[in-house]
Order: sequence, then structure tokens, then C-alpha cells
Amino acid sequence: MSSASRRRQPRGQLSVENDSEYVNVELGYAGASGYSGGQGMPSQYENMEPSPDLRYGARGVDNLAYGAPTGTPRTGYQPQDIQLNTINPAFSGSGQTPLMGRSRSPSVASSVSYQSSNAEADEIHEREIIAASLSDPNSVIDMLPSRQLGHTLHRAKSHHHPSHHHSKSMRKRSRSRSASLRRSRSTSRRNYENVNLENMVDDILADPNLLQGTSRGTLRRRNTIRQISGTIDTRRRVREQVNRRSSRTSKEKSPGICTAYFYEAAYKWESFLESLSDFTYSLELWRSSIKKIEGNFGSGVTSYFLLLKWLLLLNIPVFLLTFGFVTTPQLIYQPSASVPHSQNFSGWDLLTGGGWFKDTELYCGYYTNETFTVDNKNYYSMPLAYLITNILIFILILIVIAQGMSRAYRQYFVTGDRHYNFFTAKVFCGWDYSITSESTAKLKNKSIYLELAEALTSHHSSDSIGCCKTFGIYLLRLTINIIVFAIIAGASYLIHYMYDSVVAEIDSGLTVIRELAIPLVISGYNLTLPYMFSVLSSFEKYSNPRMQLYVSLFRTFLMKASVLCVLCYFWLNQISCTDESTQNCVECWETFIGNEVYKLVIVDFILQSLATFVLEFIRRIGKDHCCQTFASPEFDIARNTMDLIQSQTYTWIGMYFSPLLMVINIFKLVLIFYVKKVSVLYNCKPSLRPWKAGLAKTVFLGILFLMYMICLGAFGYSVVQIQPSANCGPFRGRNDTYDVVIDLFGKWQQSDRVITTLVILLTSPGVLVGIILIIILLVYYRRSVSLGYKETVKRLQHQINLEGKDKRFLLRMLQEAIKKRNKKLGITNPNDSVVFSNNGRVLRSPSPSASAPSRQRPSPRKEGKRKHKAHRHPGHHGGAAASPSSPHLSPRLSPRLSPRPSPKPSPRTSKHNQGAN
Amino acid sequence: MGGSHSVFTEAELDDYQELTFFSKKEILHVHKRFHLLDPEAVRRDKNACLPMDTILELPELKVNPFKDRICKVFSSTDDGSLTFEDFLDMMSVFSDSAPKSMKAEYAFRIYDFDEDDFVSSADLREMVNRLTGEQQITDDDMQHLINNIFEEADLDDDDALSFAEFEHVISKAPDFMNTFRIRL
Repeated sequence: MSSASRRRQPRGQLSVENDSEYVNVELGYAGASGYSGGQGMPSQYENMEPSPDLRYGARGVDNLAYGAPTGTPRTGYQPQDIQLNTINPAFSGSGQTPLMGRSRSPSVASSVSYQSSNAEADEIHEREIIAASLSDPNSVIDMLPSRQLGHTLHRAKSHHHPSHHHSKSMRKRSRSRSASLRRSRSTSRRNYENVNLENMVDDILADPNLLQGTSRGTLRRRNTIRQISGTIDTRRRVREQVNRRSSRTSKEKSPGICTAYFYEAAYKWESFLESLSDFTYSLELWRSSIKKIEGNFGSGVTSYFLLLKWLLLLNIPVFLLTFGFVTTPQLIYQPSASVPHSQNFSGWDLLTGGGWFKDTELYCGYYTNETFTVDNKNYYSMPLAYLITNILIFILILIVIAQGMSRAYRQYFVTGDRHYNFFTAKVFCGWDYSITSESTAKLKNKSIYLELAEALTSHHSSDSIGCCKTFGIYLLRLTINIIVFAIIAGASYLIHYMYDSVVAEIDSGLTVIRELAIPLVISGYNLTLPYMFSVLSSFEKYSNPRMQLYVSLFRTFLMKASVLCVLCYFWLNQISCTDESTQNCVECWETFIGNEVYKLVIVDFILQSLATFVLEFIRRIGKDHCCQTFASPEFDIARNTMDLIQSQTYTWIGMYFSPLLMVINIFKLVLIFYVKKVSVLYNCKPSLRPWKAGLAKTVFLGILFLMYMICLGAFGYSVVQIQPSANCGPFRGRNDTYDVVIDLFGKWQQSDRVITTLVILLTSPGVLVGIILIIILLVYYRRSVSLGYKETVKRLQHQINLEGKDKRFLLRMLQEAIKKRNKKLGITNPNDSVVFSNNGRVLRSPSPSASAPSRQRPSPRKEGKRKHKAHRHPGHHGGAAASPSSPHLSPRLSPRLSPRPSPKPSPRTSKHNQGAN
Repeated sequence: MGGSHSVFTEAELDDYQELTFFSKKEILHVHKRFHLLDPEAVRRDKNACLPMDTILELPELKVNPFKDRICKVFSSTDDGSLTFEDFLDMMSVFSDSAPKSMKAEYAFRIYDFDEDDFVSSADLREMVNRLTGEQQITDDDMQHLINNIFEEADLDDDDALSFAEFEHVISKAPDFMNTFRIRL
């Protein structure tokens, strides 16, 4: 194993620091590439270790200085052995990249288990490589791991022996195994495919995690096969062979009853999910609409609609919960006739939510505080049901949001480095594959062009901004920030002020406009302020348009959050009659808040649709008919998404006070979807500005989460701290809402000691602190794990670097060896020497035709000479063994006659051939 | 739905479901899209091999700058024509449920124009030219751009991106999953 370093250090010809081990690794890895031949179906374990015969052969070749004319055919050097030893790329890295699987650094080695072959074998193979390369340097290049895409064969699978499989590392490997399998597709498949196929089959069979017999194994196997990148036909054949062979050789140890049961359940669950996905596909909402939008506007605009849909789907179960556990019992047990309506229905009530509606199930105040008796033993306590349903809903929403957020976060920040590669991202992920419209495609072209050009010009002019100028910019930004905060504060104060005056007059009866004043003002904010913020931030000269977008987005969020906070503060502190001295006091504050939220939701909806239609429509008409200076509007994803989030927030805050608000919100979302869809498709034009859907999703979910926290805080506060109204609502007459729960415990205490003590124990401060501590520890643990991963990634990256250096080093070594051999043999033919640049490219190649580009290799040298050499080779038995159809012929043995075993003869080579001819 | 069910037997659907990332309904939908490309030929043979020109009628591919590469990569005959199974394969790779690594691999093949298993500077040049369409970046800028890309992604300094490097850089580009996707 260490021979390479031993050999290299004394030479000291390359200043590759501290990476000797990597070279070893590489060699060892090539060495481990023995592959069991493709004929027949040899057991995959038989040929793992190079047979002694082969070793001898290898040494012999080495000693004979391969390619020298002295070589005589060795007897007993069977083709079978030759194949064993094929240099044909047989790497199947155990990691995502072949490079990564072979780390020696302890942290990596522990996560990706790599089993080295023994040192002796490595040494032999190293010599082999050198020997092989003496005649054909390119074979080494072909052996380098980075060249292995598309013709991956499989490494000797000594480490696959089922005898030493243990759970954890194995599981990891199986994952990476499927990754390597996937890489096995060859482009020109025909004669190579069979070999490839069998390797995949071998691989699958060798992996104990994919064994038939256990349901989990079956599932995994199915997934592995599914992920093989090949034609469907290839996968089908792999599957067939796997099934055939595994049924032949299956003698798995039967799992315990428990595990078997677990596997069975897992399998059932998986199949259930599959059939469910089939079912949901036909139910999927708005699929064609979303597709149409995506085709015309790209994934940015679509993300708005997807969020809308997601919110809608979140609202439906919430609504069902409230409706099922709160509204339905109320409807059944408390027929509305029992309480006569104090007011008649009028059209305006729809808008204001007041009047007639106040005595309906829409508002909290209408719900009864009774406990219904279902039969003698069972009863249904309305207050309890009301409270618990709401708590459940909040928990449900929390889980859903947290899950969505963590997924988005993982996708964006964890897998994606925070260090953002602008150019690669732009070029490799620039095209939106879902675009279907010609004009959008043109626009996309233009957008990519502009962005690249902009980035490149900024690259050219390394602008050195003077200190004074920088100061000026910062001063400007400071001023604008102050202005923005002043605006936000002013806006919040205005609302507070208006509420004060409204509440003062509340008894004297308000006009409709007066009642709607506050919602109108808030909607007005939503329409104007974000626009103002984005204009202001455009003055601030942010270098990056994305930065500018996020700054204005943040300010919009701040505005909405502060408005929300003011509202909450006002509703919860000023309105309720906790304090007798408060003059602004509403009779039934729960209903009042519900009503306020209702107005907000309705007015927001109306204004939003009106603004969408009227403004965008007018702009479009203006553009079409009057003057072209009106640009047709673009769909402002950020603003629209913020509006969506805000309306959802209002619903959350209101749903406790107005159980049926959710149904209104559902209708609202559905209508908004169609309004926006029509507006987008008919009035808007796609935006030139790129939109990073991935990041934006994380940001928006984060904002949604913050808003949710505000709602949750308000809800918690109102439950625990505020005294419910005396004459209305399910909690009337209690000191605070939470009393309901305490009462319940009291009842339990009488009947059941155990539960009570349990509950008391669980809610005691000590236990709570303990739970919090555990959570903190968990978070800390996860964080350190993620830091560890980060470290690993860094190391792996470093390793890729080193591998690159290794490659160069190897090539130089080769060059050296070639020179030496030439000297030894007295060949002075300069054609035979190859010059490598220091990055490993062949700079000057021997044949005249190879004076071509630096990336071309000198592989096709003169045909005659090649044949000559091949014939003289000891191991060469003539046509049969070297038949071109035999993919396993070692290049060492017939480097020229047989076509490269690689599935596709390197295009460079073929191009070259054409050139030479 | 009943009509389209008759195209495939239940066994065939099961088979496809097991080998792709699609559910049965989605497979039928894919077939419907395939059918629309050339109703005549597909009616005769449900697994007909449609030539590249016909395949490119698919709206998503029609405007895609890499359309010919996509067809080539997914074609089982290497000439750009796709059978239904190839087509299904393609849609499966472009679907939401295909894993990132698989997508990355196909992306790599698509972007490897000369099929030498490397994304070289020539490939990048071609790519950028196709991406920007009518507007062309100047040679100077192009060189800059390519240098920048190599600076970001080329870890072993050989002025070409191997698959490992490509996958690495893709893994850091979170929008890849959002863009390398065709909704059914």
C-alpha cells in the first residue's frame, strides 16, 4: 500500500504536500478492480482475490518490462485470468463520486466504509498500471476515477460478502451503492450492456439490504432498480435476473416474528402510499392551471400559486376539525330558534359581518356554555370541546409549518452551501425546463443573457468606491431606514388612534363606512406601502438586486407584523372588560374581535381582487390602445405572497373567535386563485427578473412561521390571561378560559387519582424544565452533527483537490517511466515520448496527426506498430481472446487490437482517428 | 379514464410503475401526451418509436435550448428518436419524485455535448450560447464566464468538469430541483 509513497518521496520531484496516502488509495483502488468475467455466470465471490497465478503473471510482466521484445507466451496464462485482471475501468466508487469513497481521514472512513485490498495486491496492481502505461499512457488516464462516468463496472466485491454486514455502515453503503449503480448506463450500449447488466445484478444480489425475502429488502431493491439510470428495458432485465437468481440462491435467515411483522407493515404502508398517490393524482387540485401558468411564467410565479394551494389544503382539515367538533354539536343541541335574532338580515351585514351575523355560529359569542348529555354516562362539554379543538388546530398548524419549513430549509441551506456559486448556478440551473411558451423562452434567453452580462461587466470593472462615497451610501441607507421605520410607526399609530375613536362611538351606532374604516386603511397600507418600500430601496444602491428585493420584503413584513401586533394589543388589552374602569368596553369582546377579523378578511379580499383587476386591466388596456409607454404589469411575486401570508395570518388569529372564519378563508383562497390566474395569464407579462424559488420558499415559510407565532402568542394570552365576557361565549362567567381545563382536572381528581397525579406531574415546573432541557440538548446535538457534516464536506472537497493533484503526479511519473524505458531500450524515436502538461493534459503527442488540441490524446498511433506490439505480447493468444467483442480484455494485454472496452470509444479518439485517416 | 385504461394491461402498468417514479394514473397521462404527439403512429403501436422531430413537438421540448441533447440522451437507439418507454423514462427523470442525483446525472449527459464524459470549455461555450439565444455574449466575456465557472466548480484544475465535480456543484445549487423538472 505504501509503495507509492516510498517510491515517490525520494524522488521529491513534485511538491504535493502530504497527500501520499491519496495516491496509494488511488492505486489500491485501481487494484481492487478485478472483475469477474462476463462469460457465463461465475459466482461473484469466486474471483475477488486475484489468483496466485495472476499475481505471478503480473510480477512477471513487471519484471519483463512489459512490451519488451523478450516476452514469450507464458503457458498457463489463461484468458480467464487475464480477464480477472482487466484494467478496464471497474470502479464502482462506494461514494457518490468514486473519489469520495476512499478517504483515509478517520471521520470519513467511518462514514463510508471502504475496505482496502491488502497491500500486496495494491503493489502488484500498481506495477501493473505502470507496466500497462508504458505501452499506452492513455490507459492510465482512462483508469482515473473521474473518467469513469458511463462505463462503470464493478470493483471486486470482497467487501460485499454477506458474512460481514452490519447494520449501520451497511445501510449507508447501500444508499451509495444505488448511487453507483445509477451511473452504470452506457451510451453505446449494445455489446457492453450485458456485462454491465450482470454487474448490476451482482451488485444488487450482493447487498444484503436488498435481499429478497424481507419486505423491506424487496422495497429497497425495487427502489434501487428504479434508480438505475438506463432504459426501462435495462431495468426490467436487471429486475428479472435479480429475481431469478435470488430465488435460486435464496436462503436468507428468517427474521424474527417481530421484525417480520414490522417489514410486512412497512411494505403494506408503502403499497398503500403508492395507491394513495394514484388516488390523489386524480384529485390533484388545479393541476392543469398550475401547469399552464408554469409553462408561461416559469417556476417563480408558480411558487405563489403553489403556496396558495398549500395554504388551502392546510385550511381544509382545520375547518373540518372546527366544524366537526364545535359547530356541529352546537347546531344539533342548540337549535337557532331558541335564541331569537335581535336584528334582521341586511346586505351590508355580509360586508361588515355585524348585525344579523352576530347571532350566528359565525362568532364565538354565540356558542353555548352548556354541557350536553349524550346519554347517562357520556356528556359533551361545549367549552372544553371549543378550547381543545382550537389547541389541536394550533398544534396541527405548527407541525405542518415546521415540517414544511424544515424541509425547505434543508433543501436550501443544508444541501446548498451558503456560499453561492453564481455562475454555475446560472448556467447549469438557468433554464427552466417547464417553460412551454415561445415568448417566455425568448424572454428567458434574454434574462439569462442580461444577468450574465451584468455579472461579467461588474467583474471587469473592479470598482473601488471611495471612502467618502461609501459613507454617503451608508448615510443614505440610514436615512431611508429611518424614514421607513417612521412610516411603519405612523401607520401603526394611525390604526391605534382610529380604534380608540371607533370604540368610543361604538354604542351610538356606526355607519358602514365608519365600521369598515380600519380594514380599509389596512388594505390601503397593503396596496401602497410595499410599493413605496421597493421604490425607496431602489434608491439605496444595493449592489445586488436580490438584496434589494429582500430588504423591501423585510420592510413589508415589518409593516404587516407591526400592524398585526397593534391590532392584537388593542383587541386583547383595550377591548376586554377585565378592568371595570376601562371606558372603552365592549359587551362581548370575543364576538367583537371575530367581527373585526371578518371585516379585515372580507375587505382585504375585495380590495385585492379589485386592485388586481382594475389596475392591471387598465394598464393592459392602456398599453394595447393608448400608448406603448405603459408597460404591461409584471406579476409581483413577493408582494402577492406577502398578501397571501397576511390574509392567512388574520384567519389564524380570528379562528378562535370566529370558528367559521376558516370556511370564508377557504372560499377566499379559491376565488383569489382564479382571480390571480386570470390576471396573470391575460394581463401580466413574464418578468425579466429571475426568481429563486428555492430560497424564496424558505423565506416565505419563515415569515409565515413568524406570523403564526404572533397568532399563537395572542391566542395563548387570550386563553390564559383575559377574562371571558360575562354574558356570551362558551366560557361566560369564568375567570379565564383556562378554567375549563382546571375544572376538568378537578372532575378527574374525584374519579381518577392516577390521571390527576400524572397530569399534575406533567405540568409541574420541574418536568417542564426537564423537557425544555432535553429539547435544547437535542437541538445542540443536531447542530453539532450538522457542523460535523460541514467539516466532512470541506474535507471531501479538499480531497477532490488532492485527487486532481494525484492525477497529475501519476502522469508525470508515467512520463518519467516512459523516458526511462526508452533510454533502456535505446529507442530514440521522439515519437514515442509523450509530454504532459502539468495539469495532466497531453501537450505534445508522438504521431504527427496528434499535434491537435491539447485535450486530445495520442492514443491512435500507427496501426502497424500497434499490431506488432500486441502480437509480441506474452499473454496474447490471438484472435479469440482479443476479439473485439470481449470487453474484458485487458488493455495491458492487447492495448491496441481490441477496442477500448469502454462502452463508447472515446469521441476524442474517434475524432482523432478520422483526422488521421 | 376508462378508455385510456385499455391501452395497457394492469400487468404492464404495474411493471412501469415499478420501474419509474410514476403512479399508474401518471403513466397513463404520460401516454396520453405521447399519443398526442403522433396519434396515428401511436394508435398502431403503443410503444411506437417516434422520430426526434415529432418528439420535439412536445411544448416543453420545443422551446428548450437543449432539446436535441435531451432526445439523444434518452433515446435507446442513440439517434434521438424515442419509444414510449424512452419517453416515459424521460418524464420520470424530469418528474418531481426523481432523486437529485439521478437528475444531476442526466443533466450532465445533456450538457456534455461532445459526449466525452467531461463538460469542457467547449461544452460550456455551447451551453451558454444556447441559453442566451439570440443575444450572444462576446468572446471576451465568454472566456471570463468560463473561467469563473471553472473557478467555482473545477476542483482539480483540469479545465473540465467531471461528473463528480458537476454533481458537487449541482448539490450546491438549490434551484436545480426546481428548474430541472417538467410538470406532467
